[in-house]
Amino acid sequence: MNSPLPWQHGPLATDGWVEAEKATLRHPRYANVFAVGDIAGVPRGKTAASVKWQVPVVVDNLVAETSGKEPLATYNGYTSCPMVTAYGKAMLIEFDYNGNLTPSFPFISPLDELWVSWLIEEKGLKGAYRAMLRGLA
Amino acid sequence: MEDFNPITMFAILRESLGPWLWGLLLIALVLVVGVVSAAMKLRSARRSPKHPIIAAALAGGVATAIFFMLVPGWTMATHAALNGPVDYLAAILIAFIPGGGIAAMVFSMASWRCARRTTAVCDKSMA
Repeated sequence: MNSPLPWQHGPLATDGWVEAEKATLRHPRYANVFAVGDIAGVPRGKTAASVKWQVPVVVDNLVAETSGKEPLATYNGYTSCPMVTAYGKAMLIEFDYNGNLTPSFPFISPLDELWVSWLIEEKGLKGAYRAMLRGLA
Repeated sequence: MEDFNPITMFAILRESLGPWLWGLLLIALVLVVGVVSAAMKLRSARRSPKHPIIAAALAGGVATAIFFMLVPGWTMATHAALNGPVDYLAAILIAFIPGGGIAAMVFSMASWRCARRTTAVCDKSMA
């Protein structure tokens, strides 16, 4: 699997991904280049949930970079994987680079097959992602 | 979790429900106005709110129970999918939205009716 064209073979990419430092998401060779989402060559983060946490980091770091400061904002590798296990049941698994579980909702056990996780997947995520794209969530 | 503040939740609801959100908010506003005006009417008529509250609680409870049975189907699941306390709590809370609406409607109607009556079941004075 590679990142979408045309990034795969461009000067910024290695092995089909735009190179990026895991924490700052900054390109190791081009200090004013940052990568988020599907093109970013980081171990996690090919999900909309990841992008939600990557974008503020990149914004802060871009501002710092253009101001001549050191980019200090970091992304911990957060990603979310709502895993449908049966009709009406899902597991709302969220984790970081190290595989540590990072649940957004403390009352929802990420390793249990729950209807409420299915509810979030079925009814909530589309609206959440649309709100996210509008910069409202 | 701290990211899910009221403004974010409203934005997500607006994106999820579209124009239906405004209709639901309008219904909620009408119900709130109905409950407040009915309570004021009861008070000015010096009637006890006991019977309207009992009627609202009964109607709301029955409606919540009915909607609780329907909620999993709304997500294309069955009751067998409910797998823990958090599932039941979520289903009850969702069912309570229409149940609460029906309770508010019944309270308003019963209060207006009681306020108009001079005798019979609603004649217990607040005094």
